[in-house]
Amino acid sequence: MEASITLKKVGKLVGDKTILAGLTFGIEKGSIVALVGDNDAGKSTMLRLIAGLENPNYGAVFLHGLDTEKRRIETRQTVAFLPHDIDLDPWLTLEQNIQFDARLYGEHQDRIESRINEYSHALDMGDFLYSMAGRVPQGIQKKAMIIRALAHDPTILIMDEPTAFMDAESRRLTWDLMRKLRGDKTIVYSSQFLPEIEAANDRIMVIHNGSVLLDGSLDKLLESTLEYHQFAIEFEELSDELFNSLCGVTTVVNPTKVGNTFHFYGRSRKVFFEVLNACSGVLMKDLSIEKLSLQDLLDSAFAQKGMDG
Amino acid sequence: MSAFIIRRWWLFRNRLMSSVALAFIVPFILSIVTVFGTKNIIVRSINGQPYEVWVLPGLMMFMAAVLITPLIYRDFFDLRIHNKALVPMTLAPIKKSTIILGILFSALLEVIVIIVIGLGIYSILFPQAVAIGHVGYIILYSIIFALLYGNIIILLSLLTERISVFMSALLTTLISIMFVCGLFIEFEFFPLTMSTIFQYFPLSMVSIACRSILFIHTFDTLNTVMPITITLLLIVLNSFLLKRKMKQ
Repeated sequence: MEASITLKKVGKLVGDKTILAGLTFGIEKGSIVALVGDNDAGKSTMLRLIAGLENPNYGAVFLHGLDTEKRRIETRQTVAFLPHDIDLDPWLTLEQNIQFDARLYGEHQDRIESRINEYSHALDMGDFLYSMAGRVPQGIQKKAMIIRALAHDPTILIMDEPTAFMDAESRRLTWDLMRKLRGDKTIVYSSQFLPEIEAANDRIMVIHNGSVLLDGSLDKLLESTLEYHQFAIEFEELSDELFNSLCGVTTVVNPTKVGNTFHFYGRSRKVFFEVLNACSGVLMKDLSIEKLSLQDLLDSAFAQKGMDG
Repeated sequence: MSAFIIRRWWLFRNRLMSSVALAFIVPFILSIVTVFGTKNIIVRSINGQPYEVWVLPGLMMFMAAVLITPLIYRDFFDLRIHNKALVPMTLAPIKKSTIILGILFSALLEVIVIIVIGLGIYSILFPQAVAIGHVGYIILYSIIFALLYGNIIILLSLLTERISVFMSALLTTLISIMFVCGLFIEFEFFPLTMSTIFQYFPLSMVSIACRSILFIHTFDTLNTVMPITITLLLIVLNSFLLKRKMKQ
């Protein structure tokens, strides 16, 4: 499949610190790709590099085969960037903010208006469009920023926390729109809302310390967790002696103690019975067994070593 | 460019009452505080013009500087440091020099409108001072002055990151041009060495060239071309600085 975005050995330094180190990957046209990772993992920097807001210290970013540094004007026509923070002009209405930005891209008035109507309807903007940007809630402003990003009809949409500040309904409408745009536009976004990422994406890239740690579809990523379960046993009293003894069970993975509850991961339910044997005679109050989710995968202990590490 | 002009119109329209009030109050106050008292101290210029006639080009240029300052400050400092609304502009497929020129020229349009109102108010306050033949030249040189001064403020806005530093530098600049650019006081009032130095300031050149054509009826080529050349160089420098500041 044709790649919309290609990064070749891209590196970014800030002072002596390496923010991104030698990234090489491609993103297929029309796909939705989620970037996840810790706060300082380098997600935002990667998004800013793809959007052309910053230049890499080495390597190159290509959009539709064009180098973003050498073919700046052409590549910018194809891309839109939605930052995390609000960046609307507070003295203009939301509609004027959108119109002005689209005009900078040379769009015709009728096409701008048609897109504003279409997307504002999809995001249920109502009369807010004609309110001064500085006087509406941030969630509404964020929706206006999405419309602004789409108003010049980019083929690549880069979004840093697209649903930040939004209420549940607005988040739902936003993701409905993104799913509708899938196939037509390549969408790359970062988010801290893991349930959203689990619900809407073609591909997830886990970024850690400026490198791509895991890359693939949700199902593929969770393959590594196959048969793993998360166990939690609440005891009447979980002494240090008992905790250490339970940690000694060889099949127990990543054990932790929270109050009187013993948390651990295990590849099969058999582990649970081994733990039960190890703590025979101790009074238990409750237990839970869950399949692993993206959150568990992103847990730093696993993300750095892998489930079997 | 049309996008920037429409944006400026929207900004003007969205704060219509305050914009209209400002358009009348600023020229009125500046005319009163700068001319009424001073014309009793400096009755005539050295070449014999009544002070209120001699000072008019300088007053309009100063008015242009006062009016263009908040417009430039807002777009290049406030929207860059505080609100970040300058960022999406720099992402558009246009050159940085187009952004500089777009913001500068659209601000200039608003300033020209207020200068015309200012000339009207001045002609009411001092009926003999405004000659119809002078109006075109005064507006033209005020535009040159505003473009040069606007670029200096853009440079200041892009070089500073803190509001306290920006405000100190801005006030120093405004007060300096008021006294050393020959806007309100003739260069001959200063000691000879200082007077000579002040006359070579690019902003001073504009007021000298304007008065030369108004009162001596001589087109001062050097003092007209030099400020325009410096303005063009500043646009190039500011475009480069904007690119650097935006890390693009």
